[in-house]
Amino acid sequence: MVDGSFALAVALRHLRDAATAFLSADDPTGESLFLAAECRDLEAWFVELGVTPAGLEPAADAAASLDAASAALAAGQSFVPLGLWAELQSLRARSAR
Amino acid sequence: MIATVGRLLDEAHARMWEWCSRAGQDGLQDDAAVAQVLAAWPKLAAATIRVLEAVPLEPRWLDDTGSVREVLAELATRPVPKATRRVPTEPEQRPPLDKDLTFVAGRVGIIAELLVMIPPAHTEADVAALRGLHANVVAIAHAAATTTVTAIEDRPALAVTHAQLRGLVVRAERFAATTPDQRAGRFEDVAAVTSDGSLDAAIAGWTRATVDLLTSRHRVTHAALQVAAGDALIITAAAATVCAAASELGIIAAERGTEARSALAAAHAAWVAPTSWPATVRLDGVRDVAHMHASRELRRVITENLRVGRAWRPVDELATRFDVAQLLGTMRRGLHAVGNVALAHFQAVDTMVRGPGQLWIHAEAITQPAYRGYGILQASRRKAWVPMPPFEPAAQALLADAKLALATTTTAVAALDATATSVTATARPAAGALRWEQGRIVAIPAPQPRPTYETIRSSPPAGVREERKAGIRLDHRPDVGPRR
Repeated sequence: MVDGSFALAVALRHLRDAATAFLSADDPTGESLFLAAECRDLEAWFVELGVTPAGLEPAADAAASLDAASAALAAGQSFVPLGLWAELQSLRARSAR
Repeated sequence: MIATVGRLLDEAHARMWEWCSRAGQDGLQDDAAVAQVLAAWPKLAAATIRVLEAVPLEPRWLDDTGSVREVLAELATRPVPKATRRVPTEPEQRPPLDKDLTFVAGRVGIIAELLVMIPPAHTEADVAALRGLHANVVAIAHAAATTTVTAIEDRPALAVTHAQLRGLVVRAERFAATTPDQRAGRFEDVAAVTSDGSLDAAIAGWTRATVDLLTSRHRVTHAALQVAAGDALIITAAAATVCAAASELGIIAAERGTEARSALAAAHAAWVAPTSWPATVRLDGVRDVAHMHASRELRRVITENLRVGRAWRPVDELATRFDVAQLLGTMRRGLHAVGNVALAHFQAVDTMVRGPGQLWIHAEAITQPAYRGYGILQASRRKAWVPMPPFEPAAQALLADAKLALATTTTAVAALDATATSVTATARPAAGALRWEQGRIVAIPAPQPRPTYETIRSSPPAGVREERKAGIRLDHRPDVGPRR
């Protein structure tokens, strides 16, 4: 069982990396802007919980970062608000489309 | 439907055109009709003055509507004259107001109401747009005055009113003779936005919530600043998409469209950095629910209206679904909203960076040797967060990014406003009274005769040269001469 605050810190770091990856993507459709905005919405959950991002190496791309964030939250399931979990899964599904 | 200044002007010009046409046929011969027209004049004059005074000009710009306002003020304050000597009009038996002039005065009054919160015009684009708006409103008063003057010129009892209206015609002709192309400007986009689920309403709601949050020192967080920057990114992208569509459809001049898109691209690029704060800097706080909802609503409405699937709507779909010219007007308003948010964002970051104890930084991330003392090293070992020291490069970079976003957004607002002017230049027709052009009344000025004499002398008048040659001696008592 992973420490809850560490799991959240890891998830937040991956989420931030995902947002940065979305923003730096060369995407003429503009979809990545909306996905980045949703990452920032999710980040506000963590800020409210007083979570600070862990220092990690960024994942390969935005999708990998979101997967890693999801894995981190799954590891600290008992500390994770259900709304945060649901929104992260929704975001993963949208980015995978 | 949103009431914009442009739409209200359309209605007022169309109604005035009809009224002038009817008056041209009937000649307003009836005393009662003339009395009704004269009774409505103070209302129209007062409404026109209110529009002319609604948006102040900065002192460095010349306000050239003074002469028109002067005569309008006389018309607005003067008691309603009697139409004839034969039909006395008691104060308690005032004639009813002419319906058409009252309608037009009402529309002009609403325009004044919409413009009253606009900040002073200070850029060249603002001033050009304001002069265009003035020309559009004065053209209405000019048309009404021209028609009324014709109707009352053979009535001696109305000689004073005739002289005033004649004065208005002469002073207003210069404004009324400008072409609709010269009159077009961003003030026609000013709108009364209602909460009806439209894009305008979503943008207005987002602006209110965002500015409200960012200007609150206690509620602002780094997450809120990032979200605001992300929303600004989306609006600039949407504005660029609509601008490109309008350019492709020939609604705006290609050259101005290109300039606007270039400025929007620069603003878009500048907003990317404020969207991604470094992981080593933070300012925590509670989520603002109103801001979160407004931000999501904005994204939802933009997605529903301007996007299909995972991409922006193609030009032909936009043209089928929307009036692209009006959509561009909405985008202009949206970019003004981003401008307001950019200012609030910059001020919030400025307060945080310069204010003591506002921002927090990871102790390991402090770069200034002067601040890497024993306490900071201990905190660094514990991986703790400490208050941001003054002049720390990470904070300075945030401030520089916010400043750049504000500057480029301001430029983009001006560039997109410049697309409000029309494309096609129309040929000037022969001289006449009034003509109808692009939904606006335009007066044809009488040809100006060539001046037959010089009004400004290039050489000094005779006598000055001799006086200069023989200078007056200050230390010498003048000779006593003959008294004149």
